[in-house]
Amino acid sequence: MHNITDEQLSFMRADIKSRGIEIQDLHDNLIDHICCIVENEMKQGEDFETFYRAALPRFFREELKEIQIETVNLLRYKNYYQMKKTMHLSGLATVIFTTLGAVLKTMHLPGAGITIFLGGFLFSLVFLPLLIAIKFKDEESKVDKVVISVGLVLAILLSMGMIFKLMHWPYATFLLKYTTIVFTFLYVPVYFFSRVKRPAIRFNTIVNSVLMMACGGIFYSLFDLSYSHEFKKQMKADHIYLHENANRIISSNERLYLMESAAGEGINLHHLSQQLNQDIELISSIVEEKNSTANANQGFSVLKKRVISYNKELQVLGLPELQPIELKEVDVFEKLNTELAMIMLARLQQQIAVNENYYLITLLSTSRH
Amino acid sequence: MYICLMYSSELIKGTLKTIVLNLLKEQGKMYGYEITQRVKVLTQGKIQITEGALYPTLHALEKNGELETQKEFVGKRVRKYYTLTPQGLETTKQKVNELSAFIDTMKYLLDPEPKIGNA
Repeated sequence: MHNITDEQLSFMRADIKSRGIEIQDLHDNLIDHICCIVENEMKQGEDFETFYRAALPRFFREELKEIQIETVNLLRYKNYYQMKKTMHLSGLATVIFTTLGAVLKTMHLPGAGITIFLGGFLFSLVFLPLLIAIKFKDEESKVDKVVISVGLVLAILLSMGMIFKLMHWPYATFLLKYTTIVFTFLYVPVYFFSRVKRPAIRFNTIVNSVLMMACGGIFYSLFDLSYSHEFKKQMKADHIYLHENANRIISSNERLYLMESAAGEGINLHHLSQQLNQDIELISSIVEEKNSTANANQGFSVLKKRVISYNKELQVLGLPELQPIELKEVDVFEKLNTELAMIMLARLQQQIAVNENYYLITLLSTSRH
Repeated sequence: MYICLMYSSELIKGTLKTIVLNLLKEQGKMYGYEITQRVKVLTQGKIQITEGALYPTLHALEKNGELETQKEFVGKRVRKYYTLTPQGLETTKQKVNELSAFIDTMKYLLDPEPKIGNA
């Protein structure tokens, strides 16, 4: 049995360390193991250093550091293989659900919403987070770890935005729009410049960047698919026309109220019409200011209650020519875009004013007879 | 990362933990080199555990609480002895049972109609 000298021990310690073994416990284990090999397997008269160099490859395939990498992987990513398996399964499920959901949606069959939602949910909250964890482990360079992880986080936000949009949840457009802007105009250039200088991945980087930029750009251009500028202008002009007409009839009604015979009997309808008009004006100002019908929810519910009392009053008055306001017209407001909603609100104002005007004229004409 | 003289690594992949745990259950306290040598002797050299696979597994088992360690000085170097914890003993029983059941199933699968003298 060979007895290991202090010099040989120091030599092995320095060599093991220089080969990248930094974990002290592992270092101690390896030193003891190599010493055991030397003590038990080295023949008498054999040169220590030659034997040591020949024995060392028993610990690795290409370099000694592999043993430390494998140890770290087992300690840090003990569920690595399970994670990979789950990622593959969630990826497959995503493909099946989204494809099936798309088919159901185009054929107007039931279950389309929930199928697409499940696909998006699996993709953004299972597949992509696992991919981030795995990429973080697999990528060698720290810059690549960060760049790829940020890209995948943006992809999560984007797919969450799509789910929000499909489910009509709030902030969907905000999520989609700003994630697309950050992804296309900020992330893709960072991705490109952080990788393009490395010859080994240069080609892939260029191709990926072009694809990402093109997809992001096309996606961004889809955000503003509303009416053209001219069309919007025309709709606004229609709204103004209807609104002004309504106001003209209202001021003419005011003059009719000044006549003695109309003042007393028409007071209830006058009061209800005024309240409705005020509500509509308030909603119009909110819709116009926010450029969306989504912020006037509360106003709509108040308006609905008023419309119900207004319709009841019209029934009490019992004139068949007085047109009640259809409740379904109020219900669709929230689903309309700004321009259409404004036109509908002005039309309602006009209908209320015309009803009032007809009632007043009827009152006055009957009193003259 | 096995070196196995007789069996393909695919065949015995995943059994290293069971081998190490069961060996520690039988022997009580062992160090790395001793484990590799013991496996070599017990299997008559048919299975040789490589150091590259052994130490990452030992560290992972220690971190999971299956093993505890005791350090002793051998001359100027440190030797780390591994022993099973109560949790490790439980895991060993489960793993050995699982592997035995698997071997039985494989026997049945590969030889569903045992003939006389075919044992």
